Amino acid sequence: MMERQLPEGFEALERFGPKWFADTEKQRHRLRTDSSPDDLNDLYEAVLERFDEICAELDQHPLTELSVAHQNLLNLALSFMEVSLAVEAFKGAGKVPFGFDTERWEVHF
Amino acid sequence: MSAPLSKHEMKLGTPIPDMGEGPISVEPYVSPEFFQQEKQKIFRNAWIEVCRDDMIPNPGDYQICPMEVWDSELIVVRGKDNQVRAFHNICPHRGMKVVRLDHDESSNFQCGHASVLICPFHGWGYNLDGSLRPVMGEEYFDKIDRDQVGLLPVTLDIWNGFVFVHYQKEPPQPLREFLGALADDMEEYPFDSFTHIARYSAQAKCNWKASMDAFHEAYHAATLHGGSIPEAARLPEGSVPTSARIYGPHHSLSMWASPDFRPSPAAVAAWKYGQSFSAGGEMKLPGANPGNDDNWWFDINVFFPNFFCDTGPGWYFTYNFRPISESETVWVMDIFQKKAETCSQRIAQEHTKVMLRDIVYEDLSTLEQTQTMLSSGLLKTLNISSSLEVAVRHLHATACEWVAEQEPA
Repeated sequence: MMERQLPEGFEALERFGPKWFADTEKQRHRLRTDSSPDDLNDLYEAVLERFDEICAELDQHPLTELSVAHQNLLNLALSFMEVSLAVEAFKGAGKVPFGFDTERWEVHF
Repeated sequence: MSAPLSKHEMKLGTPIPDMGEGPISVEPYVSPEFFQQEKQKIFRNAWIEVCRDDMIPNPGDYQICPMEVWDSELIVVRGKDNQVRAFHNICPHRGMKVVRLDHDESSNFQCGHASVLICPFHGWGYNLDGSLRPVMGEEYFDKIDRDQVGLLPVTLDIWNGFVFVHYQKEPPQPLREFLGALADDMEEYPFDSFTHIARYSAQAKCNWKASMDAFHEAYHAATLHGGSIPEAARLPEGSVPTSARIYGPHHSLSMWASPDFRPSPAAVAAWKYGQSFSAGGEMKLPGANPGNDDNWWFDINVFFPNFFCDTGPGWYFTYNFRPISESETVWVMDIFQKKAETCSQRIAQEHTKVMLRDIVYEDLSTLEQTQTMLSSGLLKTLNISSSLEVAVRHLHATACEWVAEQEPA
């Protein structure tokens, strides 16, 4: 049997993996700038709807000792935050409209 | 815009010095000659912030700090005696860089660890206090005077964990005296209890002062940030700081958070579990909000010449503006927040980073377009507000004053 990507009860969110389970802000930001408004909206709506459940599940486990499935879920929630302004403020645009050139902007973490 | 901006008054926490009136000159933003004067008279006479000491927590930890404005690069290293020291990254043998970093994209900021620093050219080695170790083939050299031949030391002092360096062996003022009353106001802020959660950087073709000017007034928020923070456009009175203070060459502004602020769903989610940059923080920390202003959001603290340390309720962030030329600047932003203890706090923390980052994308967007047009020579002066843009006038006036009055170092 394949190992579960996300903890039990969150199977419906597995369709966002492995892409949006990325480990670093640098990777998640790149994904955001390269994604379509529809993809960003889809991720945003799906995670927002389950946000409290996700926090409740994750907070049963210490931040530094997460299983792969729980780490994926945490990273998915971080991806939600990553795309939040794109959806809430920029009409789904992955790049900040009229913002500084993302190619010349270094995200270090 | 017809909406009144004066729903609240900007309080003055200090007297405002005479900085002239009316339009300010464009020349200091575009003149190569003025920049050469600034390099000598400002950047060799002022204390310059380079990093935090907790970025090099253990003996042997070092950080490379580019210092283009001195035409140099520094090694900041913690010695075996736990003392933090700085040296120019140059080997007195033949002038090679002693610490050579990988040429990856973040090479400007690399940290490392070593028990001795060894020049990759001929193997000359240095202890962490800068002293020269035995040299391979020393018998082939005329006598090497170890009192004279070591890593070139740079004057360094630390305030509240922030590492500052000075070009001169004997600076005109000790660090703490130079930081003055602005540091008094911020002294008790618990910088030590925060962790480094993000770093962003970019090199922009813009003058260092014009770059800083995009970050120490709130007047632009209602327009430029109408995208990232639509609330700012809805509530343009946020363009008026609640209070302003000028302390010698440094200054500080407190920002207003509207009680009518309507946070977005992600901001609400963040605040439910942790802390966000969005207005609404209630954590009371000493060393912030010195005017005890109502509806306080955060403080913009600017240490002349080029260091910001903006303190908020549960987070703070810094900017360093490293001048390259009269029209080019490296901008570095570091964000610090209370350490996340739980997963949900960690998720909330991400909101702080992302929100700040996306707002600052908008701030940086103005830099090169402004500089390009300023360089055209079309404008000789800029028409600024003496209150809303008091920090712009103060930086301009201070730079002009230092260029006129300081001796080159």
